[in-house]
Amino acid sequence: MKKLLLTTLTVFALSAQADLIAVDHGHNWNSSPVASVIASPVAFEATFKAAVKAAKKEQAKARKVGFEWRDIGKFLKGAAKKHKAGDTKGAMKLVKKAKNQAMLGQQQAKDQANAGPSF
Amino acid sequence: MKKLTTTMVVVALLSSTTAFSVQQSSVVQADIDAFQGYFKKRFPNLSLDDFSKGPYAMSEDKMLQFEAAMDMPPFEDHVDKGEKLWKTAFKNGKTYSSCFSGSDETLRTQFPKWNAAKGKVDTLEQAIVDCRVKNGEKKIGTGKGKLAWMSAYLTTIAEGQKINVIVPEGDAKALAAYKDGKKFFYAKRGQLSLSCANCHVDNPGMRIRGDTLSPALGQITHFPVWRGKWARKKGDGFGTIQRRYGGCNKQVRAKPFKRHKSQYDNLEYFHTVMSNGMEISGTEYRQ
Repeated sequence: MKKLLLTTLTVFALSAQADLIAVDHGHNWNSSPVASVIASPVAFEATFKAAVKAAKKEQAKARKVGFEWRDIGKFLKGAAKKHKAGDTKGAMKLVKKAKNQAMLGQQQAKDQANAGPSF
Repeated sequence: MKKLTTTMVVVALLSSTTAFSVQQSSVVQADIDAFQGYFKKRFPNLSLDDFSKGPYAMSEDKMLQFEAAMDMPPFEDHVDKGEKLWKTAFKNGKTYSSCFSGSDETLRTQFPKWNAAKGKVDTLEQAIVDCRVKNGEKKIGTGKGKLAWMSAYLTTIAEGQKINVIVPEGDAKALAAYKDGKKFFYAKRGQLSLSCANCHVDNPGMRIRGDTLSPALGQITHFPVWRGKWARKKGDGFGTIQRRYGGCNKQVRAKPFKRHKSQYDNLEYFHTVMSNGMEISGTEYRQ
């Protein structure tokens, strides 16, 4: 009984130790790629620039088909402001929103290709 | 020989008449009939010209408010200024009238018109700006201000005349421009996914927050308008139809287009043609 108790305690102690070792206390629980690069300003800068470029590309496509939404430009300007102020997470969120709206505008153009009267 | 000469003269006369008389496209005429028929069926108590009063024609209370505002129009001074500007000669001695054919009173009903040489729609406001440039004057802003005042003056003196915008039969480019405007009108756009038609064909007379939606039929008869909303903002309250298009697009959260580019010019072409046969009611007050 004593042996069994000792073994159980040892196993428990070891497993708890293993858990503690495994936990990275500097880990960011927000596992999105954006959040993971926040730790590295240089890496974030590159990601942010690429994201803005991609959003602007989609915005241009939406504009070309005549279905750009009103606030895309506002979101991109807001993102640049937040980025300047150091709010990397907020900046990235706005860039994503801009890109998403630009893509929805393009889809709207496709959906409305045959728009006409219903009477 | 005499008979032959007479026949040839008659044939020549007839052919020249055919060449100069521009007939409405049959496709467009069918659209006009369907469009106006829809509104007449939906609002059987309104005459064709009643539609020019927009939301005021659909509510007695609103009509009283409108009539009270029109008793002493808040925009008269600016229409007078528009007249003065219109009649003031350029530095070269010519006036605006020199750029247009026909009397000043008929100008409003001539536009928008298809310019076959340029392959595009000409609007009255753009023609006024072009006239200035042609006569060595600076461009002026479109949408509001001086241009809107002059345009409002031309709308005021055209009161009672009928809209008769033509999409020439057999002109494929003109028909394409008209169809482009038509598609714009019926296409849902912006984050709210609403078309011009969703509000002004499907739901005229219905409330949208505090406002009553106007019917698309007859909207063109009283532009430029003086709007209380615009007067409360920076400016004098005047705006052209293309200023209004931009505002509508913004309201559905779509990015507005630049004024007097093909998108709004074609839309104005379609929008005006649909009100063919209606009287110009002069510049009016709108909420």
